[in-house]
Amino acid sequence: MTLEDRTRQVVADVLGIALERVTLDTSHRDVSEWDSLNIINMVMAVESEFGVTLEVDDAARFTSVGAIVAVLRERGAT
Amino acid sequence: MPPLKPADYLRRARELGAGRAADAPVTRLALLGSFTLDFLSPYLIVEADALGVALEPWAGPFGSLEQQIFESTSPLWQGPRDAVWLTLRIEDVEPELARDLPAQGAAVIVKRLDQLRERVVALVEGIRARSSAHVLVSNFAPPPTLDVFGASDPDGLVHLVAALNRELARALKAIPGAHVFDWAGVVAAHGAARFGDARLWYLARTPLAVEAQPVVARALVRSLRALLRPAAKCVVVDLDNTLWGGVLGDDGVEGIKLGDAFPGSAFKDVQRALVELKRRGFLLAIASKNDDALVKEALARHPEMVLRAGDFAAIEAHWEPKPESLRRIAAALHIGLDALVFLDDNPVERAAVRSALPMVEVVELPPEPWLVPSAIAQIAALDRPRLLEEDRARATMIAGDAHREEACRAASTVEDFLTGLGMVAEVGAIDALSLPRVHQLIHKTNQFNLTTRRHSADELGRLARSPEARAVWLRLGDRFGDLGLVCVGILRRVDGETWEIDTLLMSCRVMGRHVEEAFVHELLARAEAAGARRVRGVYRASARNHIVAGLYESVGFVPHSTSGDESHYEIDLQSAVRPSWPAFIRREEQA
Repeated sequence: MTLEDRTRQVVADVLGIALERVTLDTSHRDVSEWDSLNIINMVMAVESEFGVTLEVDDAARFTSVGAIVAVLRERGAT
Repeated sequence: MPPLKPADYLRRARELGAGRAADAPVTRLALLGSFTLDFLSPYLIVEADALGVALEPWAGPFGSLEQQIFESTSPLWQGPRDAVWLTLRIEDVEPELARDLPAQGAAVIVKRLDQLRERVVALVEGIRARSSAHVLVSNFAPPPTLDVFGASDPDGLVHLVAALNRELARALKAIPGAHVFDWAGVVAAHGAARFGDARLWYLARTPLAVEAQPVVARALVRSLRALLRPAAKCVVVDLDNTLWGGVLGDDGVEGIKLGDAFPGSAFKDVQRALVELKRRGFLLAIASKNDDALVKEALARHPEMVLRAGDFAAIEAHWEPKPESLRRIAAALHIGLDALVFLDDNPVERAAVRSALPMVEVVELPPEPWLVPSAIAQIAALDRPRLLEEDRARATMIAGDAHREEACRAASTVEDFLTGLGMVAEVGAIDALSLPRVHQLIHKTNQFNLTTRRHSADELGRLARSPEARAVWLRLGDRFGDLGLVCVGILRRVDGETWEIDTLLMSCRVMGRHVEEAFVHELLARAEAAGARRVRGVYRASARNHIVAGLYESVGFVPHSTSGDESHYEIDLQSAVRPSWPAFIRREEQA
């Protein structure tokens, strides 16, 4: 699975929405479950999924699936 | 199975919640604390499910604990609560404490910690005043300090916090339904350094690292489960490669591995762990596919054996299937199969028991013997929130019963059996010390009870002091253990030289041992000593006491009159047919 697809899966698991509804464009504006609590849940989930360590500031960039993928790439996820 | 990742917990918690029938029983746990607790909810749901508890957590907003607890309109009280977890950290509620210690000195810090304890106790009392929910209260982990020599100072923070925890435990012990959750112990066992994640703290005010979340959840639901369900009563163990290394039938008593060198040393530690369980009031039993005589020989003769035959309440050593052994053990000990925990190194045997007897707690023992003692420590079914003196005593009593039954099978005649029991009966007059147990027996004995008169404690005290009455008890022991106070009799003077047995009862656990004959003998002797020439007995029929309808006649009384449900009997103390004290019971009088 690609980095993008694994990220979509994690986002779907954390937010509790169907995988089909999650694209790279899906953002906090589209999904009500995408709140501050779940942003932290997504941070914890992707760190564990990809074995990377994010920085405190990175959480603020969790605005869309594509943005999360970009953060993960920066932090060395493949 | 690889450990679950955060996303797995979130997904599974959601699935568990959705898969639950609307009317299925759930345990509703409220989380109240000084930090964000929302992140723990999915972990709690999944870990509770692993222990068979359907959990519905509700996380309150952090802080503002007094408002939530003391105001009945707060969200906390808008739903039913079966349990509440109250968890405060010193870092959150007394953030300057660690830094104030060097400036203010220990006495001031102790005062502040006392106030913290009083606050927590008041919160707990507030919860209990509004609800019957169980309350689990986290104790305190020492906050981090820069003083690496803090532990050298007897007034250092680590010691002050330990003292606080002790006082907290003392205070909560006095509040029904309140228990300590050993947060400090969980932090220490996991390692304080890995417990928190500074990034998550700054980001989300959660002091828990991702890896600590399942750890806390597991420990909390384990405590919660112990509050919701009774602990198991008996640990049933296999022998070969469980209690010792090797196979007794192949290796012989000398050849099994048990001793101070590995792997014998690991098996010895397994036995030591079981000894501890026994001392904590659990029964031990053996279910082994083995030759019974060889097992008894190994238990008796092997010099390194920590557990001996007498430590086991039941021994099933033969070649029949293990589920059958477990059934027999439960029957012999008069406990349910759901009160059994089964330890066996063999996965096939475990699977057989699991499928035949799903109510038995089958422990997944690791194949490495050195991991078994810690696996035993992890058995949640053996957790008991409070260890009572009676728990220890009860286990000994039940074990004695099973040994007695085995002795009965081994003896060729009833007389042999009774003589072999080595019974000792102590008799005495009811006094302040014996009164609580006498009162309890009078109120709960239904079958072996001639008159079913439920005297109050005050009345009993009056009878015990009256010169017109004799109030007597009998306590029984035998070589298998103490059976406690088992007979109560009260004599009252009717007129002149005639006395009447107002109350005569015996605990059913000693029926069939002729103890009643000894006790009637004792009552008559005491009546005689008080000046009686005649003693009357009365049998008042109840729904439950038909087994003693013929008692008075069997011990030499003659029928006198009948009225309604009452039958009256009488015995002339000069009569030759007075019951004798059975020769196989030794009589002792209370000093």
